[in-house]
Amino acid sequence: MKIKRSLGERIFDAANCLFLTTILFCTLYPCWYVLMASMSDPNLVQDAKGIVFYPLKFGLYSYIDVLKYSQLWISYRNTVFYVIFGGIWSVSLTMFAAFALSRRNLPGKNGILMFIMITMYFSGGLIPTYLVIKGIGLLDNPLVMMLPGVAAANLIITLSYFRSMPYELEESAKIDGANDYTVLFRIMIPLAKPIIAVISLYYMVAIWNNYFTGLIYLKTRSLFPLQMILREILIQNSTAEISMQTDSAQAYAENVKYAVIVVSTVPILCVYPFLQRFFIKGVMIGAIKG
Amino acid sequence: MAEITARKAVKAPLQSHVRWRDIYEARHLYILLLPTVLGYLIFNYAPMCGLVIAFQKFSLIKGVFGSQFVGLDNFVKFLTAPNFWQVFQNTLSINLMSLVFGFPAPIIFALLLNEVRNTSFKKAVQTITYMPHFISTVVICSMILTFVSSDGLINTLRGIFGGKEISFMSHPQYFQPIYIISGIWQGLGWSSIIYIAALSGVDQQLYEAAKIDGAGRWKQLWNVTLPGIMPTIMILLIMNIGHLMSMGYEKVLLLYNSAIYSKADVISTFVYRRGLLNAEYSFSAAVGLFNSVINFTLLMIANFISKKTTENALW
Amino acid sequence: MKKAIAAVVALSLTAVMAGCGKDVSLESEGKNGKGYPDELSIWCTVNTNLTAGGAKDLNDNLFFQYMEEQTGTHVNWTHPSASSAEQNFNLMIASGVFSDMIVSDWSSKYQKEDMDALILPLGDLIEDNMPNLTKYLKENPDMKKQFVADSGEVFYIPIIREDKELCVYLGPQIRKDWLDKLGLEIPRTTDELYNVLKAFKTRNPNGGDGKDIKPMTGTGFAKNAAFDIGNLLWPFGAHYDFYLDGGEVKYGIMEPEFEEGLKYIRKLYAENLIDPDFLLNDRTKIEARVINNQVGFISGYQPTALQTSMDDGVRAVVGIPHLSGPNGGRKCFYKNYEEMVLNKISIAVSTACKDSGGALKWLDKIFGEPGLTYANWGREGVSYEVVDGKPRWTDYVMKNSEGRTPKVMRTISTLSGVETFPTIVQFEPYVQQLGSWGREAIPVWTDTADTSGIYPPAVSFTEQEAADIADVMSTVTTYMQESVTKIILGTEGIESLAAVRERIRGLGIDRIIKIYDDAYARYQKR
Repeated sequence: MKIKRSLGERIFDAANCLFLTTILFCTLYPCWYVLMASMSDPNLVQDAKGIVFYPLKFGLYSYIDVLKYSQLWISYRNTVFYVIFGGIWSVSLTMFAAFALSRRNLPGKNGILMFIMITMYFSGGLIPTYLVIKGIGLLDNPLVMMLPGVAAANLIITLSYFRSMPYELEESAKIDGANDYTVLFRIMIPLAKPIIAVISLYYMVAIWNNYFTGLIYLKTRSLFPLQMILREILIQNSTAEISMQTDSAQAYAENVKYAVIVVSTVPILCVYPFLQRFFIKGVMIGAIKG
Repeated sequence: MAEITARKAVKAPLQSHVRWRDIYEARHLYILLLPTVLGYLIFNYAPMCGLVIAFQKFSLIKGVFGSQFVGLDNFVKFLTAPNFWQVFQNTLSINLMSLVFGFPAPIIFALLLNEVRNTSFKKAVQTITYMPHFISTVVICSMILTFVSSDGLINTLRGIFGGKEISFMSHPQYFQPIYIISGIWQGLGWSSIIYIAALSGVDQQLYEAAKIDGAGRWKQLWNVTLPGIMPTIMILLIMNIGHLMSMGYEKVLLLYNSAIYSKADVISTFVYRRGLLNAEYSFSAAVGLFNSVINFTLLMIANFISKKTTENALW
Repeated sequence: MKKAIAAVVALSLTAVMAGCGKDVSLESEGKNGKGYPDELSIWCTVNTNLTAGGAKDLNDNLFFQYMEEQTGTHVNWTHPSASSAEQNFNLMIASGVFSDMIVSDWSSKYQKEDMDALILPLGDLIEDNMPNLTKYLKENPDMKKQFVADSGEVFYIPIIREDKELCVYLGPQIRKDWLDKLGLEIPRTTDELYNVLKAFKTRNPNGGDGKDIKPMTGTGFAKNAAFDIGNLLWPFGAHYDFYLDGGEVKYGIMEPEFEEGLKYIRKLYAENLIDPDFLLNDRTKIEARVINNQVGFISGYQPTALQTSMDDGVRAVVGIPHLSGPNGGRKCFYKNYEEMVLNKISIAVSTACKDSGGALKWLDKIFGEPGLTYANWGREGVSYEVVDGKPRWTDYVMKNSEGRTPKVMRTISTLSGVETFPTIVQFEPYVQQLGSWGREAIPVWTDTADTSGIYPPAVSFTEQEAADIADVMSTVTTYMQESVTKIILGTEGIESLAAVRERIRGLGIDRIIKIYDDAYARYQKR
């Protein structure tokens, strides 16, 4: 059944596309700027006052600096490891907990939720947390990069999603004799693909970008994640200026900032399209009928 | 996200008191919850004893248990600081304005994107718009400063359209808009992901039913789409309100300068500058606790109001 | 777990060695048994030049390899990341597990309560175990004054610079080629500077259309940074921070000379002689503007790009004498000039060290010959060679085959190059590596700077004093910066200065001036 689109609708569509395209360019330009600046002479970039469409005095010096840096590839490997295993762990735990909390027949669910929410707001601070982690023996241990598993915010989003799924699903399954695990794994999770995709993305990006945990808790260089190494590269020579000499790497320091962003972001950008199809296509919850 | 109506209709009869049988029946659920709760106990609640630092004159060497207890001294110090009201106001106003303008933006963006028929255009827009999220704060601020400097991009454009050159960062009134707008720009694509996911979960059959009833796109939006994603919107709104007092110092620190302190100085930069002169754990702990209490109160209020008006709430 | 066992073994070995006779003989080269500990754990930051040079930790540094050969002591280094050094330091204390020796900014810490639970007083230990250092300090009592505590006790050993010129690494610089092009003389007074800047602005020395010329640039006011716009106050005898005037402590904005200087800055800004974006600048932006031919005059560090390219006659950024004001004085308030002893980087011995005598004995090798030469030059035959009786850097350092810069090579070959570990820094090795302009600028700056007004960086405050200062000054400084910036920009008139002073007085500045006075008096008595 083809519904003819009225003139008003067509105008709307056109305006919409125009608007979205504008936003597209507004967000694309600074990313393009970063990419171009990473390949240009930093002094010329400063001079350009913000208008850079192509590399000024093309050169890959900062990339060479970054990619040649000792430990970079090891740290890449480390981060991939942390992201995959940490991501699986976090997503799983979040799904389980959100599912449990969304079930109406769980006594004390509000109390447990409150218990978790409070941690979003109140924290003992760095020193007490450090002492606890040290006490458990997680210092300088790769697990520390993956362990603190569930982010309350992600839990809330998933919880909300589960709550909005029709109760009939669980009801009919339970009538057929299913227990809670079956409901979770056979019914809910397959239908929750969009939200799984979203929180997977959130967790993976968070672990990927995380440098602070490693900074505080890791001492062995071979365990360092990518972001820590990149940070090191960035702060070359920004420390105590106690003599007249600075390293010539300082001359390209500006440049290196941009190259670092490119190097650390490109992998994530590659992962995203895979997750995207889970929430662009649209999932049918038509499973209710029949 | 399916309709709320379904949920409302099949509300399970609530028991007035909980029986052991109920707990036994839900035992699998507790098992599912166990790892998470344990994690929170160990990694969040155990360190929470550290909150007591806010009430102490904390000394690193003496540790949490050995430091002297000073009651509310640190809070008094904070609240009576000459700049307190200014930094409090700035923090609140920046966050409030960010909420008012920045909260609807990703939603509207997601809705507009949803209306696009061409899937490859849709995908392209979505993939590109979330990229700025990954540019680090340091680089973003460096770019912002370059763009708003007196010979920067913005002023160049102003020149083309006949405007006069403005030194934006020398006048306090521009700081907050610049901060907020750059924040919206950076976070738009990323924040819209959750809404796009929510939109994809709206039952297609509802749309078909609406179309059969003769609803045009606008009516469909109003009656199907918006109610469909309302739970997501409300939950995120509640959580955002619960962060009204939180603002990191990094971006402000990189963007502000002495000419615009009156509008740019926020609580976190104020504490940061004090910390540079003399590292005071107790002071920053007290400020943190102060912020947390206000945040949490706001959260409860928002949750309550949301429950009463839209039936969506955290608990 | 393994690490814990290793640490316990190390500590017990050290304890055993300590028991086996502490030899207090002089200059004993030799292996264990002569009093050096078997193992030492040292906590200190390194700058990333080290890893850029391919080293994993300081045990790959040539000097420390020499130390291990000579003493048999193996050092276990802990290198926290420089950007989070303070945090890591605090965490180390909180955890209760300390390294034997810790390098940090002890001058600001040793007065804190209960520090005696963390570090040992060194006075007697130095006398007993460090003959080289003791001898050096006897010959240079001024140095000792800079890091000894007010009570006379010693808690840490800092970086010591042998030569005053090592402290002079920033100052006013100007584009000599522009001056030559416009037929101008090097400005020596503030009035002459004004004329020169005006000429830069109006006569397009960079060959362009002159619109993008910023005759002078710098960073925001009173940030205490190198390129501070507030440095223009100095020729007038004024400053924006605490300073000494005839033995009395004064606070910049409260003094009459401040007004003169401020008027000058205001005038320069109003006539567009100062970069309008100075508030947004940092070192990178400033350097970029200089390299891009936009700036004629700066006061601060030499631009990085010009440090190694000695033959770049195109942009002759040359150091000029410190300016004098209308009253003649050539005051300079760069704190660095007075920092012959760098207290920020000092080493202390922790209470966890089982063999403090041995540790200090080990450390003492740095302060006497031949350790001192190696500390500054590295290894003979590798990083330096002796030519005509004088040491010279080799190509390994100056023209490294792998393309690494001299500074990086110095960091992995010498101790003084590391810049994060105490030693005595000599002038010659440093100056040999500098570019020609840098080298020429140093004597010019040293000779023309009147540093008598600088409040000594080596003064230390008690814990209570530090807390009071933080309380008051965090507000005062912010307010002062804000108000003065407004006056410079023209948003407020110079008349508002009186009201600003009143407010600062009301915030309690007099009490703080008294604290600075007391602390100074204690310093004098050391």
